[in-house]
Amino acid sequence: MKIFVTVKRVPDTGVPLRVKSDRTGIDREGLPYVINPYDEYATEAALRIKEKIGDGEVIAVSCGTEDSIETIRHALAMGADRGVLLKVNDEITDSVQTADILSDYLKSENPDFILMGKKAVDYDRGLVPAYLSEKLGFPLETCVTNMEIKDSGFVLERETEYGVEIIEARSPLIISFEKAKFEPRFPSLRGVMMAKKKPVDVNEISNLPANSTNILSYEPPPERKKGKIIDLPFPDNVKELVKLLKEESKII
Amino acid sequence: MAEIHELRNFYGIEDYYTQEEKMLRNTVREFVKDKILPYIGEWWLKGEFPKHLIPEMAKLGLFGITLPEKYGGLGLGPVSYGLIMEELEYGDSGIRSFCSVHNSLAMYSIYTFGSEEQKNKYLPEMVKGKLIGCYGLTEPNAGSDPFSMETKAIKKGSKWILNGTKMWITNGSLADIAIVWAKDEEKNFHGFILEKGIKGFSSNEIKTKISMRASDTSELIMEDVEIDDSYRLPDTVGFKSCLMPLNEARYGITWGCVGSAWACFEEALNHSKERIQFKKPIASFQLTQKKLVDMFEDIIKAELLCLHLGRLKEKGKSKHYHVSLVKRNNTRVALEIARTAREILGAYGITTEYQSMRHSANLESVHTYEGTYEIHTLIVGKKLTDIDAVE
Ligand SMILES: Cc1cc2nc3c(=O)[nH]c(=O)nc-3n(C[C@H](O)[C@H](O)[C@H](O)COP(=O)(O)OP(=O)(O)OC[C@H]3O[C@@H](n4cnc5c(N)ncnc54)[C@H](O)[C@@H]3O)c2cc1C
Repeated sequence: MKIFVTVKRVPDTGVPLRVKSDRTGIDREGLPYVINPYDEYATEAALRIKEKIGDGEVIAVSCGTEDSIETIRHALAMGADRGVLLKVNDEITDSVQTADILSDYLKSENPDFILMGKKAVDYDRGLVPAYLSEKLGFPLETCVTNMEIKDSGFVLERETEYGVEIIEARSPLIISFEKAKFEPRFPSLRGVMMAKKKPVDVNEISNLPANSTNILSYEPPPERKKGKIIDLPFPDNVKELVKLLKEESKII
Repeated sequence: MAEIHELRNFYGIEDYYTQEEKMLRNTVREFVKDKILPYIGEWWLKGEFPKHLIPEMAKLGLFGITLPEKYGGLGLGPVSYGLIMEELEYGDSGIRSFCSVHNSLAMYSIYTFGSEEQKNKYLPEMVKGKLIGCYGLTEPNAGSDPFSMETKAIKKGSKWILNGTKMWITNGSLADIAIVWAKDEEKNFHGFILEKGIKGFSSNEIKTKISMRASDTSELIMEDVEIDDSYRLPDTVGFKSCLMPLNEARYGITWGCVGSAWACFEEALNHSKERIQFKKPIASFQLTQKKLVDMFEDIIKAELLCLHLGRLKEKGKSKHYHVSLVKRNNTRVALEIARTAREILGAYGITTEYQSMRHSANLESVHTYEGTYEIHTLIVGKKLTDIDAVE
């Protein structure tokens, strides 16, 4: 069984981002990066499948620049068997391009499962799983929150407005993960050491597929307005608050 | 405004760590963020070491960090070891002490002075966290001057009879095995491995501490403990052997101090930017800015000292007086930083909701144990003057 997990290198979500002064992107100087958090759930799921079946290979694939090897190593440290970097020279911001590169590689690899995060937290589009499903002709289950492995296949859970959907699934299949009910494991220090010895193939993508969108510029989000403190004794403060809510913010 | 990650790399030090060292550090950082920081204030107040974390710590790989793979260790280098200690002490000095003692005092002693049987018997189990170690050198009447220890080991055929008391022993009550030092009738020093539960060997946890509260500090009592010579560490070379493991643990402490200092500094910096007094953030007052800059400058210097010491150690070039120089400096600045951070936090700083006062209380111990500030001064002083102040 071949289980692929897609992993993406994204800026650490705990760090506020700044738009560059020329508005062409974000200021990446010294920015800490992490594995896309949703991809960690996918990696955990892949490892659980392998552990349950007692056989198979978990392959972490990233489409990105050279630095993405770090992210692949994170998945290897968690326990993936090997990595593949689909190497591009500049960061790709177009989901169709990413899906093209991934599908070109994956279609000759005969995957049983492709596990992904529901979206990457940097550009927040969440399109790649759907495009990939279309290009490979694989069914796709999106935003999965839990997964159980049964003899007959997999039982997946999705949380919907109507309740929890229980789905039975078989390979070949693409699953994209929401923040799941299970916790991704911590890579151990030994895992980090072992990851260094696991193979990572680097496939240079020399001919970039055509892009479908172009980002023109980035606008920094507007700064949050300062709050107002009503520094009056009770009950004047309440009266003033009601007055402001009525007249200034027109909420009531 | 500069973000913490930028401040941490203010002096470009990140480029001087390898990718692997940074990955190992980040792994422990995540562990501390998830498993320690949310609960440490509570454990500290209760005076509890989080024993339930021992299996997870073992799984993470915190035991046997530098130990060769042959005995189940990770075989990591000194800088990786140091960065791991830094992250642990970012959480709490007591958590770091637990790992320091288990790794650098207990396992190191067995690895360095033990027989092959002793190594095979204890080390793999210690890596798995199935056996926890402690190190008994200090006594009620022998602190800075361990040479004057009173614990006796009398040879009786192929056995030894041990009598004496060890004091302030980290992990003393929770440990499964203790490395204990004693003098024989000819005043030669010997190290022994004492297993918990053997007749005449007991411990008492010291519960009245107002420092290192999330750590087990105990008294070990030996009353006619009779053990076979096979429990003696055969490869010791006299008094010097008691001090060798200390040098390893002290090295880790120098890094640990950088961790607690960052924790206090970050907390104080954030608070100073948010706390408004006299209609301005307190960070806007020149007095506060000077405090922040002094703290920051000291952390950067402390980290550089550690990194250089670690690289010296990699090449086998670090000497005990190098370690003393850095232990002396880093415990002093970490303690000052923790106190200053508490000052900036005002009243908020005296609670365990914040970290600085917990760190500051802990660092009082760090300043004293593994050679007090004064003793390290004398070690460096001797190097400078060729005069031994205590001989
Ligand atoms: C939390 C904690 C954990 C510990 N864990 C362990 C452990 O696991 N194993 C272990 O063996 N020990 C442990 N210790 C003991 C520690 O190593 C000793 O406390 C330390 O060596 C100092 O000894 P003392 O406390 O007896 O102080 P003393 O030696 O009595 O010193 C008291 C003061 O006198 C000063 N002084 C002493 N001699 C001189 C001198 N010649 N010149 C100038 N000043 C001098 C000291 O610097 C100090 O300020 C621990 C201590 C603490 C607080």
